[in-house]
Amino acid sequence: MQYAEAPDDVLMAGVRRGDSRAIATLYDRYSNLVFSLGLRMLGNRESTEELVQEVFLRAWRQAGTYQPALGRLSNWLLGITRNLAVDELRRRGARPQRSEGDPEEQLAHIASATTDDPAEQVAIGSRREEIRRALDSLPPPQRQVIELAYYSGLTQAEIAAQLGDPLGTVKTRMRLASHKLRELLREMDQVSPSGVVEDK
Amino acid sequence: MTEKHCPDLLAGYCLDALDPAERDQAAAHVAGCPDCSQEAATLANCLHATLGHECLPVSPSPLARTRFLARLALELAPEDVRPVAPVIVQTPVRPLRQLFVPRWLFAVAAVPAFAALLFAVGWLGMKHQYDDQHANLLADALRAPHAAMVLQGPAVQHGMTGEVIVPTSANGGLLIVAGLSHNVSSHMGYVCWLEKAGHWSLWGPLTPDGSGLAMFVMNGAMDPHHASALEITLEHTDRPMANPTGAMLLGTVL
Repeated sequence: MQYAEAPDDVLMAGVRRGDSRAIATLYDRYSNLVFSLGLRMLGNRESTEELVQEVFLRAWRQAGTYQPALGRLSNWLLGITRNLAVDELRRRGARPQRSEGDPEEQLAHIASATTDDPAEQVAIGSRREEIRRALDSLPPPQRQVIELAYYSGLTQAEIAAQLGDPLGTVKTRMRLASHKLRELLREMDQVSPSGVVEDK
Repeated sequence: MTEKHCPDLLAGYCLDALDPAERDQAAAHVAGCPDCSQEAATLANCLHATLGHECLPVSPSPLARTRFLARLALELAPEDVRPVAPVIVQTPVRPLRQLFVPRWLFAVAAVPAFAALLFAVGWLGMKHQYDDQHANLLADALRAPHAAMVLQGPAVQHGMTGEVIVPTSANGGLLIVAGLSHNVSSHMGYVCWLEKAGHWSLWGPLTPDGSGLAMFVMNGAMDPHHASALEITLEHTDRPMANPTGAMLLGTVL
């Protein structure tokens, strides 16, 4: 069976059967996405590459726990990625340093990061732009709170201490931000009843 | 009925941003409330669909893929990863070159992790199932002090990646090559060559598993320490081989 063009559900069925070609194809399809989030959270390539290996090994071992009805595969993988990265951050007791490399180097990665297909590159870039607009539409204090929680793994209490805001204010901002993002995604028609972005 | 069950907790719960007491409270509620469970899944998906997809796209190195496949191989059936018996040919065909790995690296005390890896991989070859603990030995070896030599040459342009992991304070080594094709002639095979003191030894054929990965522990005559060259070639397996065939050279590691 040729997996390269197979949809995610076919690949996951292959993974559940123990077909290593299926997980290798999933790696090829989603390792950039996983790596990008991991790098933003952990801040260095070496740790992030180990994280990426662990994410796909978890996906391999726990494929049976993935429920398509609860969300797209990319979000499931991002969930694993974030959980592992937060564990690592809390284990270190440290927060991520500035990402490696200068902006030029990072921009150079973009061209090779996703796909060689120009049309697909445009589609991916367009989707990222829509997501960025949705995030930009959040009031800055709400965005700040939700980004500190998501990318830095800070608890509400840690965010309140870092920003010097009351804990109740942080909780409210976090709740409002998450609900607003859901509404924005729904408006963008990128959200299904289970709230996800379209994957392959 | 959704978040009104725990209005201040669900977003924080999805972000794992609650204090332990609140987290336990939210977890207990979500576990027993289908509506809140669905709401939590929806919120989590929204967060990943926005914040998770918003990061600047960056690629991991090709070696990350190789190492992932190597770790995966340790969880598969042993037929996929068990190395074949080596065929040793000792013919002086090239002058001795300068040692690749500095001698001072070997003066350090032995690292038990790598010795354990060699033992475990050899022992696991007799087993029918790898478990997580043994699979992690490879990762442990990678974390131990080692030199990693990367495959270079035409193979890289054809999607192959590979490396030799050489512990700095223990004998042996580990060769991992990914991206090997299954569509080679029955008379051809991937072969690993090692040159030491002007003698070439070979190991092969390197039989890829289902994902195109081949891995084997290098010890004895194939111990990469003090080697001056290591090459991966595609050779005719039905004729005697004394040294690498240049025209079929795929890559050079050392």
